[in-house]
Amino acid sequence: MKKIIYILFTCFFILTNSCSKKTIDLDPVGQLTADGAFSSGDNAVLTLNGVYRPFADLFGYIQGLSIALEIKSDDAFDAFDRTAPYKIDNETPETPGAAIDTWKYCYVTIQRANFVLSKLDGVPFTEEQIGAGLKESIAGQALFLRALSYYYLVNLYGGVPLFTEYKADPEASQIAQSSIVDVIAQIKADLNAAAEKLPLKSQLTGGNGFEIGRATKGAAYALLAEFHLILEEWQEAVVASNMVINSNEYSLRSTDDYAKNFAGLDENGPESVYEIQYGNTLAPDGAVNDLMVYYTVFQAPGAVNAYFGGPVTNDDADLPSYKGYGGNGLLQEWEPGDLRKEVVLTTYGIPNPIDPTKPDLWLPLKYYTPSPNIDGSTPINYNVLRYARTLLTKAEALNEVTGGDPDAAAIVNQIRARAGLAALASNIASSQTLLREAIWKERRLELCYEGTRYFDLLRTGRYIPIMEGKVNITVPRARVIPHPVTGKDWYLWPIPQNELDINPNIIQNPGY
Amino acid sequence: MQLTAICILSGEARANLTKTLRVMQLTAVFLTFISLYVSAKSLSQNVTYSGRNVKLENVFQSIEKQTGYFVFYEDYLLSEAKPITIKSKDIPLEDFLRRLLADQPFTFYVEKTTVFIRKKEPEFEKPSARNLHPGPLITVRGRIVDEYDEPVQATVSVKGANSSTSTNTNGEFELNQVDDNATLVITGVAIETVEIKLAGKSDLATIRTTRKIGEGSEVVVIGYGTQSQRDLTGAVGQVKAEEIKNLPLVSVEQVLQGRVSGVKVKRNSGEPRANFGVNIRGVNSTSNGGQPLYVVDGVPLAAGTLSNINPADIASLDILKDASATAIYGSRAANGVVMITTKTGSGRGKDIIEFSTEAGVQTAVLPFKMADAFLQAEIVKESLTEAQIAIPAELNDPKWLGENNNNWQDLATRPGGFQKYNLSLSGGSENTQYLLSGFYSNTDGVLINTNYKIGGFRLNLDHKVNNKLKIGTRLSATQDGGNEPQTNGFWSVWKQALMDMPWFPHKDENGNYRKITTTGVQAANSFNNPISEMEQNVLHNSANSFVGNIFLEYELLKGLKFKYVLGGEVSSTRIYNFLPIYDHGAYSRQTTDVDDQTFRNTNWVSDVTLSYEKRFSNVHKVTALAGYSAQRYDSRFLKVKGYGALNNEINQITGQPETITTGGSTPSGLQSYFARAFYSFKDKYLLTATIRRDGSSRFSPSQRWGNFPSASIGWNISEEPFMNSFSSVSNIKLRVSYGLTGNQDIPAFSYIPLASELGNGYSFGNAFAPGFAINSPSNENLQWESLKQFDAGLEMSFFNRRISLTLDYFIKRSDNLLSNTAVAPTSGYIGTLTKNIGIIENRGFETDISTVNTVGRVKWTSNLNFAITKNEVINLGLDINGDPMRYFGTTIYQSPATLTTAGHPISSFYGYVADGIWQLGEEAAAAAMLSTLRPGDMKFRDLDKDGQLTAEDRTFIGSPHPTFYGGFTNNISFKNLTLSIFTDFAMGAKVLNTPRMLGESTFWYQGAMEHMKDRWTPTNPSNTLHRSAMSTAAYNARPSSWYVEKSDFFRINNVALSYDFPRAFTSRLKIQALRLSLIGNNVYTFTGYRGYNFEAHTGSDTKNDPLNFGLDMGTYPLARMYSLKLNVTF
Repeated sequence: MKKIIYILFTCFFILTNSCSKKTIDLDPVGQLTADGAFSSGDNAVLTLNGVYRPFADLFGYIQGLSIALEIKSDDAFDAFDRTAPYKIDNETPETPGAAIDTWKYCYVTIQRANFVLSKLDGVPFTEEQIGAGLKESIAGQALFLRALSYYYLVNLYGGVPLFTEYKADPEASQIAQSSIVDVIAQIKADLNAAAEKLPLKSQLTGGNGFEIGRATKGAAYALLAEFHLILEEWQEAVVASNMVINSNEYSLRSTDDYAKNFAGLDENGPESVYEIQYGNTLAPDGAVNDLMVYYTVFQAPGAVNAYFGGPVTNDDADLPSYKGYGGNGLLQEWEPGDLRKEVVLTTYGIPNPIDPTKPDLWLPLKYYTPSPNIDGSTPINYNVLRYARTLLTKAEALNEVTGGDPDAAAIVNQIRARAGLAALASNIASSQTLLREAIWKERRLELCYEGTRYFDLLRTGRYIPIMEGKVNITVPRARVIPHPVTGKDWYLWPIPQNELDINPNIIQNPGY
Repeated sequence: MQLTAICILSGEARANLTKTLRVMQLTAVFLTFISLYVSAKSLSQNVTYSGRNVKLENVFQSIEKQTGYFVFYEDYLLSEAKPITIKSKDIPLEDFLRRLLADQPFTFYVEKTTVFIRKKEPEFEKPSARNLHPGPLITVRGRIVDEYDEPVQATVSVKGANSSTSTNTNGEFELNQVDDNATLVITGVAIETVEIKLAGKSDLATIRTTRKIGEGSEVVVIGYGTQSQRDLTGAVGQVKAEEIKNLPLVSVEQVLQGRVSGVKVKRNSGEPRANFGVNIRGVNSTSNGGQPLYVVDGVPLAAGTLSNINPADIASLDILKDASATAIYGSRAANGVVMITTKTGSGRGKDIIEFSTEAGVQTAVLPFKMADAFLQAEIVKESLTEAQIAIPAELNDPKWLGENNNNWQDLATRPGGFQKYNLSLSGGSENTQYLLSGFYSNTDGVLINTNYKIGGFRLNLDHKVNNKLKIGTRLSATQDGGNEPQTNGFWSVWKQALMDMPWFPHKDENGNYRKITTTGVQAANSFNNPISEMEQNVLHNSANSFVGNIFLEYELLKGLKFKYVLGGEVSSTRIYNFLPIYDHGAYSRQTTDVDDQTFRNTNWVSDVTLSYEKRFSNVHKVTALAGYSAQRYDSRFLKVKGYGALNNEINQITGQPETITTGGSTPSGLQSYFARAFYSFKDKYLLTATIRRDGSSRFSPSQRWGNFPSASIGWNISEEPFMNSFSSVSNIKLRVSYGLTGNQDIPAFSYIPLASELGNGYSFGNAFAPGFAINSPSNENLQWESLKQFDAGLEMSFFNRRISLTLDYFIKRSDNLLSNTAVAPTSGYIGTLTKNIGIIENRGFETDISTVNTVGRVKWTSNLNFAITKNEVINLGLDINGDPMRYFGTTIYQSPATLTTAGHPISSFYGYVADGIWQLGEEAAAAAMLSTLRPGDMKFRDLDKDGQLTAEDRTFIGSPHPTFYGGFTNNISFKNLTLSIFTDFAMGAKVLNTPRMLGESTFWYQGAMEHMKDRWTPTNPSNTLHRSAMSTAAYNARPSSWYVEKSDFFRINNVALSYDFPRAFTSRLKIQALRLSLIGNNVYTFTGYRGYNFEAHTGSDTKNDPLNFGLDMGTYPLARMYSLKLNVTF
């Protein structure tokens, strides 16, 4: 009998022991819940860092918006003609590639930015963090990144769904497009708010949330200036540019140092306003956290399998099967003695990969590193906004406000002088039309492979004539709308099919 | 009546098991019951009985009283009983029974604590006359074993005389005073009767007998217990150790292959580390590959250490197929359950040492030859000409081509040797049984620089402390490791080797690896030197694992047992990847790169069960089981990446200038209550009911609990009196079951929005900055995927069980599928949303037929099984247009290879319908379809008749699931020779042949297959093989009916020819038995399929993705293997 009681006791002991609630009432380990992500100022910074990431993906490794913006302009071509995403004339909504990923990563950024903005008020910042303005800075960065996302979206896709609130439920995001005008208003509001909250570049002195490379007041104004330029709001463009220029936070590098802007040396230097940050650091999962500008693949000598050709050969007849893509003029555009050319272009001594019997292709040298990663990616930052661009923006706006504005010509001459070129002839400097042409040319050369050419062609109404006249691509007219603000012909990208498949409220852009 | 109370309780429990029912209460009831009926009386297995002319049933009652054993018999049997006169004092039960029944027309067997009384098998023919020439009387000795060398319990008697004896536990017997010309008759409950003429021999050595087939007394392993085959009401397939004894099996999955109907096992690729996919009764889920739950000696595996179970240690595999059998495992049983039981010692008082060694060689099965340099040059030249690109001079130079003609496929493959050793020691006494075993095997893969080694040991121990308390353990530990330098996967270096140009040398004249040059024809190379990567890169995958349990079983009352099992599964895996510095021109590596990852998985399970077993009035039999189980699974990892060292000697993390470390942990848990009740009336009418209630940490607290009931009935028709007139029918049973099981296979914490750390973070000023974000949407309402299954089965055996037949029909319907649904990109989520949407149905028919074809000098047995199954997606929800949702699989050449949607089998092939080749003269028609098409290009059918070739012209072009599949095993023995042939087959499935897709595509510089010599050219207007053209290469290679091939096959999978050395020889060597076998594996396949793996399971080689079935990705090639095996028993 005693034995039985002992056994019973054991049974109960075992049962009660294993009945412990901990078996299934478990909490995730090492992962933050939605609230945990804002349980301290430090955690809020970590979550803010997550807002930066999608742009690194979008311009970097596979997604390559950096490539798409060049391929869609007259500055580069698809050497192998086999990656439809970057071709204009046969693009379809099903097509994988830049049209899908740009849409997706911009909305990932927007969702994450909204997440940060919605939770920021509840974050228990320390006294010190409040004193340093961390909360304001976080809000400003989130607003800037949201505006940057909408900047690309509205310029590439026209009116897009507009979110300013965080939506946890994915089905709540299935809304219709807003008008281009509404999106524009939101971008302006976000940038103005961001500019107020963001620190100056010189205030990025390290410390959690204040590392170099984060968005700054200057970045917000510089982007605003670009946006005004697109909208032909010249006076506002001048004002916004001046906010950057007069802040004394930026300056042009010397001629000798010009290459440093693109060579991974002294990154975030005096001319840098906003760069997508890539670093020679390995991510925790071993992925390379680097920029993959496709044309840098060519920099690995002999790795000639890369998908994208450079822009230029001397003769477009050299590329019989890719007729029309070559010889579009960037190579010929440089004036003799322009010191920038060798910083930007090279043949790398590689035979023409398409046809070795033909002259070598000229390939981009920006973002070149002598020791790229094995996959061809490089750790060099990608320029989104550079001081020289803001200067040229101001010059262009000034010239539009007052034709032949001497200040405009002075800015162009400042850029030209650094490139080792003489000042503009006085007849050019004094003519609104000629000066405008000169500024456009300067933008093309100074800012090539920095994602400006495609938008410059669109906003100035030159996209169709240039692509059809010089590059021999038929731009499908059905995909072109008049921009509601400027009236310029605006070529729209397709709404990705995976959005159309799920979101019943969205309408495909015309021509697709 | 108290016992019925338990039944009622469990009945109620089944009916309304709600949240309020806690096992505590249930247990309390049980325990109260126990304490009321506690008896201190001790029971023994010895019997004392004296009686004269007593009724047999009275003796049985006395046995029950004295020993606590139940005596089971049919009432009608006793009418044939003679009165008993017996006198015995304290003799063992079995001896007593043997004496008791010696003169009765009955025989008996003891199973656990039950004595079954059966009618004696038909007696051999009585001798008509005594031998007329009596010789001298001698003493005869011998040992009786079955065909698998296991000792057999048997009675040895002299034909026509009265003398007889029984074998001892080791199968040995001795019979005195026998006429030296007599005939011995050997009979036993489990074996076929054998007659042996003495002809003067006194030492008969080893007498091999044949076990009876499909004996109703056989025991199957079910969840938390065992059950006799006769009582079973569920569909359970069994593979026993004997069936696989001779085969060179490397894994548990391979044991399952083709041996039980309805179990489809496919080898995903041929790497030496086993890589299989298993589906029981079809694919039932869209979110995981439908792999079954494996339960090893009672421990449900969670960490997947299955590969570390040595097939030689397996006593039986029991495959639970229908809901009646699986529902006891509730939420994890939707894909079936495989119960793995390992061997134990015999307890017959003698230690047996068994040793085996096996050595062999395997060669790659390569279905294609690749083009040589000359053919490749022709193909490339045509492609370049078509693209108006100048042809490199070398390609027009026959001398150069002759000198630069590499066969990459030959360079990358080799014959691989393998060896395997097994040693086991088993035995024990009546109270303690043990098995101690160890094994080691070493296999070199058929691709260069790949190998796999595994070794381990096991200790299985059972000890009876006293008549009530049993304790024991099952412990196994293994270590394995192998090198597989990126030889698997779609873009493996192996695949690159196939696609490389024959004119690239793999080494230069100095013996160094070829560098990729930037001039001439070599500039167009796409790949690094694949041979150098295979030889220099290291990807070493190694693991230590432990699976085991300890248990305690206490008989609280007669028939009432308490059992506690604490089981564990711990595995620690290391994946070490080292990429050295090398200079290959464009693919050079300047610094070292080391990836060192450790995964540690622990799985602890604690089970408490109470079981009860009782027979009343000889007609009612009741067993009941109730239990509680708690399981915790923790998965942890630590990954370190190091790089930047300038010396290949620095190949570990230490010494790398830069390192990055990450780690994480994911817990999950399951808490369960379960109960089962079984009732049979007169062994004729059977009823089983089970229920399990599972709570899983994978679902939100409001959705956490699920109930999984099942019920089944059985009818042993052959026990009915009216069947007595059908003497050829040994057994007929009809059974029907219905029940519910579940699937919880989703990532942990899918119900909570989690801000996870982004793998790749961000960099500020070149310093890494970690970042957090919510990547995937969560769903608080997630619930179990639930599977309802109906099964009707018929079991029959005829002619004294010479033919056994099992037929099953089933319908499985998976509801509330855990579907990963895409979210709109505007949601800002990268991941998918898991929702309960959709229904999949599998229905089918299964047959297992075992026959004993011949007995006597030539023994021939066969086992045939096959299944006919049909898989259909019933519903996957609707898209925004109200049309059925479509889930596309992997995209290959710009078109998805598979489509899963309502009305079709899951993962149906999808693509264009090939309709020959555009010929000369059809230029205009071709160009009208698609502007780039020219004569020589593939012609696809214009299904939507719009005159153009568009995505709308794609359609369903086949199912990857076989409609008919099974296995056929034959064992033939003659004297000392035994031949085992295992074949398997499948029909109705198709496979997408992607290697052929690549090998025919003629895309730029891409390795072509030799049969492309017959491609279309203006002078060779082939109507099957397209031209060589760069501009339309991707178009021609799109998934189409040209590449989706029938994979019907009949395979001679295993052949083993064994020779047992005669006793005279072995006894001189002082060993018991010696067997030599010649074994062939994957010997030959009859199939029309041309590709690397006609059984391709999935597109990915690591995961069984149900939306990408049947994609032959040309991964690690399969091997054919021949070996020699020696078994020694001491």
